Order: sequence, then C-alpha cells, then structure tokens
Amino acid sequence: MRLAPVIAEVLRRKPTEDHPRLDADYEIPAYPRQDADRQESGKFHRWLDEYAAKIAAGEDVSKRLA
Amino acid sequence: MKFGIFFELQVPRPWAIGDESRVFAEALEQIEMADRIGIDCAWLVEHHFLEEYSHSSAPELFLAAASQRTRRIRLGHGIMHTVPAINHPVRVAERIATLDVLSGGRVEFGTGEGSAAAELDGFGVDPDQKRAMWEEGTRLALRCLTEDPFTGHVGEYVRLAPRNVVPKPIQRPHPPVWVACTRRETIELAAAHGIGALSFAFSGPEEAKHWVDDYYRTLATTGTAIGDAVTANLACVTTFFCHPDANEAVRRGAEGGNFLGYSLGHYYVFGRHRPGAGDLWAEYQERGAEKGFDPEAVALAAANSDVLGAKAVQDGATGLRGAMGTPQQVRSYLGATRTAALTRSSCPARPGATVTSTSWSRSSSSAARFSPNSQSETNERSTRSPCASHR
Repeated sequence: MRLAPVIAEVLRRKPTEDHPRLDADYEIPAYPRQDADRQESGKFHRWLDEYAAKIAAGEDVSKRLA
Repeated sequence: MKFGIFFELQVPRPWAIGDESRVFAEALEQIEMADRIGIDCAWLVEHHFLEEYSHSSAPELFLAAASQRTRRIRLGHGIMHTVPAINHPVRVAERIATLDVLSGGRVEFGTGEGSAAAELDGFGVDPDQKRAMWEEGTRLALRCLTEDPFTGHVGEYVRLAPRNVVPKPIQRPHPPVWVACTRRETIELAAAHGIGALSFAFSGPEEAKHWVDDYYRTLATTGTAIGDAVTANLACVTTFFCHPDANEAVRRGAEGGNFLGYSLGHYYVFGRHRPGAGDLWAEYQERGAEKGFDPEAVALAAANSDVLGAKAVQDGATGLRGAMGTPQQVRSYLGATRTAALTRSSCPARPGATVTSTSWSRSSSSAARFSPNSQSETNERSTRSPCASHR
C-alpha cells in the first residue's frame, strides 16, 4: 500500500514521447510487390492483384508457388 | 511411412482477449492426441511479425510445453531461423539441446533463412546475403551442439570465442537436421549438405516425385555433411482434412486451406502489410466472394465424386487442396504418394485458425532416428547408423 504513490510517481516520470511515431502510411510490401513498385510496372501490379484474387477464391496456385 | 502434424498457430482477426491462449491450448491438445494415436512428429514454425498468418514466434517454448504433455511424439522445429541476426548460433544450440534434454531426445532440428520482407527487413537481414548467413549460422550451431568444447570461430557474420556450450543434446551427435525448401533449388541445397528437405511447396505426388529423385541423386553424387550426421529424408507439407462426409471435409478444409494460401501470399507475394492494422481474414473472404468462390458449391461438387480427383479438385477450386475427403479418398491420395516412392505424414490444423497439413518422408538408413521406440534404443541405432559419423 505504501508503495502505491511511489509506483504512480515512477510511471509519471516516464516520458510520454519515448518512441518514434509510426507514419500513418507506413507499410511493408512483400518483395514481389516491392519489385513492381521499383519497376513502376502496372502490368506486374495487376498480375499480383489477380494472383491474390485467385488464391482467395481457391484457385490452385500451388504449381506457381513451387 | 511417417506422419506429422504441422502448426502455424494462425489467429485470424477480429481478435478477442484470450484468442491466442485458446489457439495455443487447442494446438497443445491436438499434439497430445497426436501422441496418443501414433502420429510421428509435431512440427512448429517460427515466424515473426506475421499477424494472423502465424503467431508462433517462440516455438522452442511451445515445444517445451508439448514435451511435458507427451511421451513419444517427436518435436520438430519447422523451422527455426538460423540466420545469426535473428537467432544467434549459440542460442540456437542451447535451445535445441535444452529441448532435446527436456523431451528425452525427441527433437527434429529444422533450419531456414526466411523469405518474407516483414521478417528479414524487420531484423535488418540483407536478403541477398541470407543464404550465406543461414549456412554460417547452421554450421556454427551444429558445431556448438557437438564440440566439447567449441573451439571458436571467426567468420563473415559471426565471431565467437572458444567456449563449452551446454547442455549437450541427448541425441548424439546431434538431432536430425532439416532445411526449409520452397523450390527445387533448395531441395538440392538440402541434399548437398546431407540434411533433410522440409518442403513447403504444397505440391502433389506427381511434382514431388521429381523433387525426390533430384534430392536423392544430389545426395548420392555431391552430398557433403554440414553436421556430424546425415538426415537423408524428404518431407512435404500439404493440406489435410478427413471427415466421413466428403462434402463436409472439403467445405471445412477448403476454407482453411485457402486462408492459409491467402495469408501466406499476403506476406510473401502480393501484400502491403500495415503493422497492427488491417484484417486479413475479412479481406480474404471479401476477395474470394468477389472472385466467385462459393464454399457450398465447392463442397457439393466434391460430394459428387468418389475419389480425391473430385470435380472441385480437378477444377482447382479447393486451392491448396492436398488430402481433403473421406477416409477412402485420403487413402487413395496417400496411395498415389506411395506409387511415387514416397512416404507421407499428415498435419492438421483448424480451418481458418490453423490448417491441416501433411508431410512426406522417405525411408532411409537414418530413419531409425524416427523410431517411436525407447530413447535408449533410438540412441543406439543412431550411433550405429552408417549415416552418422563422429569427429
């Protein structure tokens, strides 16, 4: 019980801004998506989008993964 | 023929308090059951930052828990990252040896380098150097497991002073070693180093036949042991769901298998992941519906066939289909692998949360390591194996 105010004070001393803020648009593109970005390739992006749709629909992409 | 059960510990959003605890507890229960019914090995991945897809970031702790609830089943790292920037080789050796001691010598040491941007970039690993990092890290970890004392190392990525790394594993000279493989090139890498190939390509028996032939050809012609023993085996992972009703098997199995594929693709192929945000499960369902995926229609199509060459399967509508069906259908599927001169092991997981999978291995002279016999017998056979050599 006597420690309660001490603990509160220890927490209060911690800076409220002790870590960087995350950019609102921060993202981690998968490597192929990074390649498409670098190449500015609309065709590659469309292929990746289509790939995502197919795999969501259950079309067999195992051969492509292999 | 050896069978395994494979866990990603998937936790699809939306998340509620206790979800991770529930997924972990259920997985442990499944391993206990697998131990009782004779499944040979429980494999657990190591992934970092891959929300929803895999929350298995500390597999050595999970497997340690499993080791205290089971008596016979082998415990596999499928895989542990052995790139030094992710797991220091000394810590790898210490954890593998400790788990081997705790489990009475039941560890399978799967290794890998990782390939997702979220993981490699997260730890500052240069993807162009990860293969060299894996090789140095794995080689060093194996030296730490076997040398008494470890005599030191000055390498490209790690510098280590001579120390005696303890404990030592029960399995001597060290537990069976594997490497994760996703393409033919890495299958050959495994064979070239005299270690098992743990394939994650989700390929069928026909494709796997070529991989197996490559593996054993390379092993015989150029294989050079990276450790002090050879693990001459190839295992493959596939989806698996068995139910008396084929309709139900495919309905449940396809949903889980497709989500595994989608969440994997998100991190490895097409996604733009925003940490702490998004909802992969909802995105998967929305995208699948847009594309016309109808789980009920898939199930109906599957129910109207008598083998796993179901119309739904032939049409590819079950995605990472693997062995989903009735006991007879699954038996038929496994028979195809036998025709391909393979043996196979299966690994379940709940649709959506985890995925049922299967892995294959081929009998070999080092297969005594997989024996469910008593530890003393296993050790005796291992040391007598023509594949085991001592420094």
